[in-house]
Amino acid sequence: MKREEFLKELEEVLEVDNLTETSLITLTSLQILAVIVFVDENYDKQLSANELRGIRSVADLMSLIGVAF
Amino acid sequence: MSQITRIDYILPEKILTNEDLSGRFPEWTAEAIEEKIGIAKRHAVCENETAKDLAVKIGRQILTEEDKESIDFLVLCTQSPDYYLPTTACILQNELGLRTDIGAFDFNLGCSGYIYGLGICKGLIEANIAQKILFITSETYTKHINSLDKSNLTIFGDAAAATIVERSETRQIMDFVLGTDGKGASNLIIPNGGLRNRYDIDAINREDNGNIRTNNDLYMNGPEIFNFTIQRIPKLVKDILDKHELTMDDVDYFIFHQANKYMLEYLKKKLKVPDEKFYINMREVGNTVSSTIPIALKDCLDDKIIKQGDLVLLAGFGVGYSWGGTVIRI
Repeated sequence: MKREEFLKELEEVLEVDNLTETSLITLTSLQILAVIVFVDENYDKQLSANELRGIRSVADLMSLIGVAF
Repeated sequence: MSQITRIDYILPEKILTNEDLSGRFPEWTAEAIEEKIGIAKRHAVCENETAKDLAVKIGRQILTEEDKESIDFLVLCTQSPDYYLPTTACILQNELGLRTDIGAFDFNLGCSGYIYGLGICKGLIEANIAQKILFITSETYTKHINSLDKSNLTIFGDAAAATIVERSETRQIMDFVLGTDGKGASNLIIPNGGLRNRYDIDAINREDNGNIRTNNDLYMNGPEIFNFTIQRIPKLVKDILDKHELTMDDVDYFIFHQANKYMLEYLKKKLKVPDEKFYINMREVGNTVSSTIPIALKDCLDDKIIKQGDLVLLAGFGVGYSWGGTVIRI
């Protein structure tokens, strides 16, 4: 998934608009579930909910997923 | 061999609706709760009503259709006993007026409890210890939830279910796959009130993602439980199918612990189960812990969603972590 595509998909997952890599985000519980599902489906990777609670920006999330965009 | 011959359930009278919740927590709307979680209302016991009381009610209800004298074992699954001792099943035996020459005990499990209970009943029957068992699941998590913990108030409801399991000529309760991983213990826990940490009258409020609770209350790390479930349950289903030498297509219907709609929708998608073979319905009752599977079974039978001869795969999972599954022939 290319960077632009990832950002667009993430906007849908989090139900927010105009995300960029530097956007600041703090995930709610339901958004954490949505991100876990999104990453499990698209990257076959299981993210820890506790790690997701700690992220502060889209860039943090991208580095947690750990794939090249 | 053993079979389920009757199932019934009971819900407490008091109801907590989504409108009640959005009145208390204005940042949530009733519609959003139902859309995301799949629950419109949940039932809750009153202050002076316990899991034992619900168990007595459902026990009396199911025994109106049975010869009480024929029950030769009583098994109760609850995590909300009246006392540390005696075991609640002994009190229940007396209040139900069951014979005194029968076995009775409680076991402490949550969302996997119905599967374990069926396994226990099957074992008791096939070891010739019992012929006809009254197996009750009764849970009152609402008693453990802080009145400011909107997440858990939204999800859990109280209920009790009774199942008659008896000796049969045909093999209707099949084999079991069980699992345990205590590494998840702290993700769904009531920290105080046992002997490790006594109930603390001065316990302080903690804020956790907008939910307020103390260590005397139920704590659930929802996202971690979700993570455990989506990783573990597909493997559980595969192991159950392998053990019975079945394929997904051989199974007529799948009934999983009704944890929440979001989780079940994703499990259904991940397992590639068609909509018409997968049960999701907790709209009227919420997550009733060990009673979700018998409630679903009873509703599916009443609504003719499942019928005689169907192969139904059951799976329960949650607090512990503890999980299990089996296949039953209706």
